[in-house]
Amino acid sequence: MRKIGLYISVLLSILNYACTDLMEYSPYEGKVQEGSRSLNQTAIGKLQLQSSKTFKPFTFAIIGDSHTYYDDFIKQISVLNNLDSIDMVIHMGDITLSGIYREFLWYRDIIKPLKYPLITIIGNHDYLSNGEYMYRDMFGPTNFSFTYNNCLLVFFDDITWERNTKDPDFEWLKSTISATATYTHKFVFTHIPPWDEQFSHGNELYYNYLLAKNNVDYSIHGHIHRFYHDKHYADLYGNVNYLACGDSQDHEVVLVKVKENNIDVEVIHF
Amino acid sequence: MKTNRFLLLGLLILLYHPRLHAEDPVKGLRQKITEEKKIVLKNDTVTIKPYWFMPTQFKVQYAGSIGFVSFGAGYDFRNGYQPTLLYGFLDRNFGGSNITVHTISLKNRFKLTQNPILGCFTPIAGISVNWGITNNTFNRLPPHYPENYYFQNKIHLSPFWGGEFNFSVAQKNLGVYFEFSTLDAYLLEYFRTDFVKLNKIWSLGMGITLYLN
Repeated sequence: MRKIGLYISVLLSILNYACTDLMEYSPYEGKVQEGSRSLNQTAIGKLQLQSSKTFKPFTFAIIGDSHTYYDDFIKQISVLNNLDSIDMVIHMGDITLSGIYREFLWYRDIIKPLKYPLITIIGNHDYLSNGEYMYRDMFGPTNFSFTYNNCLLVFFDDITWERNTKDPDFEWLKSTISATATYTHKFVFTHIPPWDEQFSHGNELYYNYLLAKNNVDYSIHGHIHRFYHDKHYADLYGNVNYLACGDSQDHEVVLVKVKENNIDVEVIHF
Repeated sequence: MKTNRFLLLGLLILLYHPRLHAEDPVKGLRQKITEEKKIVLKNDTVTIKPYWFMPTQFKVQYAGSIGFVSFGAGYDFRNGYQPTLLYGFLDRNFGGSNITVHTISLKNRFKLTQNPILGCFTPIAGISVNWGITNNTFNRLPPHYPENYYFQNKIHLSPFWGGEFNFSVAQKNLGVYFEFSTLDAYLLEYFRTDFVKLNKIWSLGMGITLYLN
């Protein structure tokens, strides 16, 4: 009698340990498995080791909006692995379609072979269901920044609608990019470009104003699913360069080559 | 996680503990359900079951995409259709999650053979309708979105297959079942991409059925 219950419990425990991906309590799960936590922090840790105190030219690659275009995304990762002399890869958000559990696990599986440190920012789709909690558990905070070769890289969560129309944390952005240290260049990475419909007009202009006032060189985005490179608000205010990369289906990788006096953008098609 | 396993073990022992069933409430319940009453209407005698609406089977399930643990009640129809309504729960104490998810699931289960194979094993298959209650899920988009910005994400269809071992213990008919279930969204990616293989979409659920009929 009691033995049956015991057998079942033992079997459950063995299965639970043996096949971690087989057990899914809910597609709305908000917690990843051991070993896939704080991936952004790990990548930043690696970058800090190779970063120098004074400016040194470096290159980063940007990709974005991989959603569930998994086959194209795998190709993108292998193209990145074949490139040499890039320092890091930045995924501009929307790593899932519905923010559900296995989509995060599949992303984790696909990025595993990438040999460069990868920073992932949150996209609007990643906020759906409990995606926000999955993101925080898997990658870390949604707003963060670090210094690399005396350049400031700021990663800013500007999702609005999926956070119930809560304004992005502009106070955090302001205090981060107005740091008094003399950086050679400043970059701000957000998923949604400010001219998108998720931004109110006030937020749009304020975002551009903050960046221009604090001498940010480049504002880099995903979300629009196509390549874009222009000084979007040049005739209105400031001189900030806006750059966006396409989605995984576009079969491209955007390289940003940071030099002392200028920044070159190169698009690799494959 | 460890406390959860102990809880589960405790639950199973409780369920099987013979002393718990000293007065056998199951037997009483079964009698009530199968009770028949005869009413004489003019010249006709009509036999009715006053408790015809009572569920005839009860389930406790572990995992299977509807929470850490779920409880449900359902019916057994003659053609092998067994609908069950389950409520599943997932939170910090039950499943070690950092968020709370309530799930209501209508499990439409079909027996694939009329009689159990070798007298004890019934292959099963079916489709569940899972309604998830947690953050950022919606049937209809909140008004600040443009139309059709997202597809609804509150209700998911979940096809499943598996089997049930049937046996009797202390005059109670029990079934121990396992199920491999997937989700409409996962199945779609299986068809749409080469990366998502069949082995990546199944989630295991296990449970016990108590039959009263």
